[in-house]
This record gives sequence, structure tokens and C-alpha cells, in this order.
Amino acid sequence: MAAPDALCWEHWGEESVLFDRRSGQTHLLTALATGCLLLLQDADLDVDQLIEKLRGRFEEGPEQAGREQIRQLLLTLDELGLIKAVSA
Amino acid sequence: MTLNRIPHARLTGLLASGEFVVRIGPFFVQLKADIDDLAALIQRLYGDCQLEAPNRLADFHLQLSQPRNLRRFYRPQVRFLIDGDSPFAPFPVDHAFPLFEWGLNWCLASYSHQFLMLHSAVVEKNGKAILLPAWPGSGKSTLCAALVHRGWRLLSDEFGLIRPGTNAMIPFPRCIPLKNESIAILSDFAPEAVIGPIFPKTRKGDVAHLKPPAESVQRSTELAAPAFVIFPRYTPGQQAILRPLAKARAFMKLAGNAFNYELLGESGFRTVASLIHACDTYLFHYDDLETAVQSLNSLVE
Repeated sequence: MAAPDALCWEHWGEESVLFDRRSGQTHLLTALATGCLLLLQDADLDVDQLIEKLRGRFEEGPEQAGREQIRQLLLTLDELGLIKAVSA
Repeated sequence: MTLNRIPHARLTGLLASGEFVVRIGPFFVQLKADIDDLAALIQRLYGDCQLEAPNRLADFHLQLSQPRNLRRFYRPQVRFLIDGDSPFAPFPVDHAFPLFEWGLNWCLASYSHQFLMLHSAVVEKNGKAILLPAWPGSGKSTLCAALVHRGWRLLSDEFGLIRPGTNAMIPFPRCIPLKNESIAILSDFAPEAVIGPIFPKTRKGDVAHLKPPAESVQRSTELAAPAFVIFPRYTPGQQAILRPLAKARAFMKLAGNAFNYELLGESGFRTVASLIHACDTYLFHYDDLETAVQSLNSLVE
């Protein structure tokens, strides 16, 4: 996860906007992406751990979206430089 | 003294000598020009603006000049210069006024980064400002022109100006460029409107300039509190309808059509965020101007 002080957040309802001080880019984040990033800010998690923790955050669990969708989301966040894969 | 109180011959002389300095919103613009009829048109369309002392420090030093080559005898042209440099190709000399307007837009967008510059009309009524950000072709200028002829104060048609770290819109009341069929539509909608000559076949089609209302110019140091961000879209056959837009999405649309959001970095982000927090955000589709004005009136009355 990018260092917290590299990111500026604004939250409106379920969606968020994130400014990355390192790249100067602004990102529009869905509720799911926001939830993932905020959880990864606290700790390194794998996909299953992330799904487990996300369940408590949403009325409809993220398993509705599917494990594959979460995995794709993490890849996208990685490509944007917002998170980074680490070995277990 | 306002431009409309200055004898025409004196104004022509000031322009020819480069001693013409005018205040438009927060900017002081020095202009040197020796183009026939330009003084009269400036006086007609910017007549309520203040003439400043010739030695007043100006934000922009501009010149409209005819190239001294053989073309001055055959299809004469005019060049726009800032600080002696000519950033773009010459125009036909009879298009000197639109060249001045576009050139000034270019100067602002290129140099005025002390402001966050939103590509947005801004109008105000009852102390509440509406930002109308839109891309060309959305009908923004026509709607803005209609509003200012139904009691709204014009802050700007093109540049929504705000100082980073603040939350008040800065007036920049200039001529509103009407294009193609909008010229006749606005003339019918507001017969009292002062509209300059039609400049045919510009790169944006036929263009005519609507004079900013005197009261808006007189109140051009009075900031306005933003209350709504509304993305307008002229949609033929569509009844006027305001649809709430999620704020995070409004943020991205507003930032995405600013002239210098990325250049300002974090301060641009925080300024747009502050605007979005302060405003209700909508998409607005409309067809008929009168009903469009009524819809927006209902938000502030």
C-alpha cells in the first residue's frame, strides 16, 4: 500500500476521490476499491483475508462481486501504483 | 472613468499609442492597436469597464498589429502579440476583435495559474452562484447569456476563477461569444441585449459578442459564494430536467474540464474538493431557454 501521507482522500457517500501526491494523478474510486485501499492501509492482506474483512463493511458482501473481481481490482490498483504485491 | 465616457478620438489615440489599460475582473490589460473600427467596438462592448492610468502595472501587455508586408494591400491581416511575441497565426484584419478575445483567453489559460481556472460559466442570484462547467457545443454560452438577461449576475462565461485555498468565485465579466444559430436565438430571447457585429466564417463558425450587463461589470470586485455545480447540456426535444449527480463523479467532471487542475497539483485537488463540498451537484438537460431559466431560478428562490 502506498504510504498514507502520499494520498489525499475525499469521501462522498460510497464513492471516493483520491489524489496521489507522488504521481499527481486523481482517481475516482468505487465503494469496493475504497474499502480495499483503506484495509490495505492498515495491514498487508491476501485476497481471502481481504474478502473476509470486507464482509463486515458492506451489507452485500464482496463475495457477491466474486473473488476474481477482487483480484482484478487489486491488479488495477497495483498498475496505478496505489498498492504493491508483497511475498508472503 | 468608464470607457463609454471617453471621447472616441481619445480612445483611438490611447489604443494607437499603447496607453490603453483596462480592468476586466481581476486583470489589468494593456492593449496597443491601430486597427480601424476596433476602438468603437471596444467602446460599445466593454463600455462599462474602467479605463486605468496608462502607467498602471498590467497583467498582460497585448498588441494587435498589421504585418508590414505586401499582404496589407491584399487581404490584410492582423497579428496578436503578447510581450512582443506572436503565439498564433494572423487573422483577417476585420476579425481583430474576436482575435483579441481569443488571444486574451489564451493568455489567461497559459499564465494565470494564481487561480484555479475552471472551464465554466458562473452566474449568481440571491447570493448563490451556479457554476455551469461544460465542453464546447453543450450550449453553455447561450444558457449563460439567457440567465444574465433574466436577472442573474454574470461572473464569467468561460473562466470560473477561484484562488486556491479559498471558496469564493471571482468575477470576470467579459463579452459572451454567441455562435451560429445561438445569435438569432438570443436576439429573440432578449431583444434588449447589446450584440456586436457577426464575424462570419471564423474557426468556430459565425460569432457575435454579447455585451456583459453593466451591473455585472460594476460589481466585478464582489466575490460570490458557490452553491451549485450544474453540468448543462442542450438536448433538443428534452424537457428541462435537473438530475442529482454523485459528488465524487461531479468532482471528476469538474476537475477534468479545468484549464490547469493538474498543474496546480494538490492545491487544485483541495480547491475542487472544497467547491464540491459547498455545492449541490446536478446534470441539467434542457431545450427551451425560458424553461431552463425557470428551472435554475427555482434553485435559488
